[in-house]
Amino acid sequence: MRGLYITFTPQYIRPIVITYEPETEAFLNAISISNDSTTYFGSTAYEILGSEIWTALDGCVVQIKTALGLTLGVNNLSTKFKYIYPRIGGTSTKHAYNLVTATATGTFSGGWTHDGSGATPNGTNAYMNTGYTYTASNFTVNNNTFGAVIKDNSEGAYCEFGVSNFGYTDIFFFPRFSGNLFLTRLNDQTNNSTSNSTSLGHFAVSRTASTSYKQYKDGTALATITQNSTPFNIANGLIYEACTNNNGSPLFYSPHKRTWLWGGLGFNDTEISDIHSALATFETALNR
Amino acid sequence: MKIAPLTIEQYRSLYRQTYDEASFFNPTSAPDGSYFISEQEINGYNGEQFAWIKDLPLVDYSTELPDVTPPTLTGYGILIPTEAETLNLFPNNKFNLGGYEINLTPTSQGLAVDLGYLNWQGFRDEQDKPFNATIKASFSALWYELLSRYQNNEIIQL
Repeated sequence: MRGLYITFTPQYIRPIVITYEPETEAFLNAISISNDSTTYFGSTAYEILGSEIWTALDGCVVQIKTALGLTLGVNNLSTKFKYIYPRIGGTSTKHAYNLVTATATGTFSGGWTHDGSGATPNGTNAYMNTGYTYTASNFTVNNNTFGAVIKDNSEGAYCEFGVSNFGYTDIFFFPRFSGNLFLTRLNDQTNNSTSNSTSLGHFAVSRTASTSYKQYKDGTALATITQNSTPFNIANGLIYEACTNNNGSPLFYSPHKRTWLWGGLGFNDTEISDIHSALATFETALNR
Repeated sequence: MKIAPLTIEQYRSLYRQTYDEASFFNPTSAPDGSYFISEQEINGYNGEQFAWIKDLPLVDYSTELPDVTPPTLTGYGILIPTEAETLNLFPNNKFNLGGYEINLTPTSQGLAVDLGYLNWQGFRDEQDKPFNATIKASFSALWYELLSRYQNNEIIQL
């Protein structure tokens, strides 16, 4: 019987070379996640191979860059973001690393629990200093967005991030304040809120205009807040996570487990929806 | 959640110190005025310099404020020793510890403290908090003198 023979000539076989976004490579190398079959978080619900983390994070970065019109293959997340803390790796050291810079710009204080599911503050004295001040050197009034992925559900005066001082331009971010309110301030000095009955999810606030800003949950705009912005005036006010930095002192500690924390330029509805989709896909890949 | 109360000296020794590679201790004050660190910080520390934190007693974190309502007074009391250094401890014939205020009674024989204050459990609990350790130590000699006078039935009507 005559068969079909296929002859391979080696010089025509090109090896498949997988390239990663420069931020992916720099970040995962910085936190020592190897791109191989090394098992992380073994015997837990979050058990995963290093190569799987590489694939998931790079897919996420590509998705984000594509959504924001950034050129792939170029280190350019910094043109849109100041910080992105993915909380990969399960230790305080790894969770302090910023995907944008591949350096540990975050600093934890107080009682945190770090593992494969993310980072959990104790709600009593735990917070993270993002390393970035809420000033014109880092952000632009009327053009900034902040977001967080929260993994616990409880109601209360739990601030997920902020910097504040009475009479000054603040950021406040309570996904589920007392009374089931998504309560925020963004470049202003007034509390505004929208009904929200769960603190679980990906929450964001984005200001792209001087007269209003938007609150988002899981990529969908919950509300447009009509509130004029005020100029930055908190001198050297560092943005804290899991509380607000109230005139130099942490206030409204949150006990909620969290994974992603990010801050950058002002994004529109489509961009925030796409960012959410990217993060959600990543969280699913890591079983978080 | 569990916390470990601290003295002010312990608070200062931990301030701005790290308990692991990327985390700082955050000694904090509780609503009742006491200082503390959390069980997570203690468990996360594996060094030698602050190994003593492993021996700190743990208590439940509470946001309750202490009840400083004065006790019911009895109308009977113990005379305070009249040594000048003792009387200097009570300007305006009062002593206030974290909101627990003791009013001394002037008598023809000198200042006296009502028995109700001596049996005031809230005040004694406040004295026992680690951050009041130094104050308690300063008053221990006076306390034992008053206790001795009470046991010797040296009680007067106020």
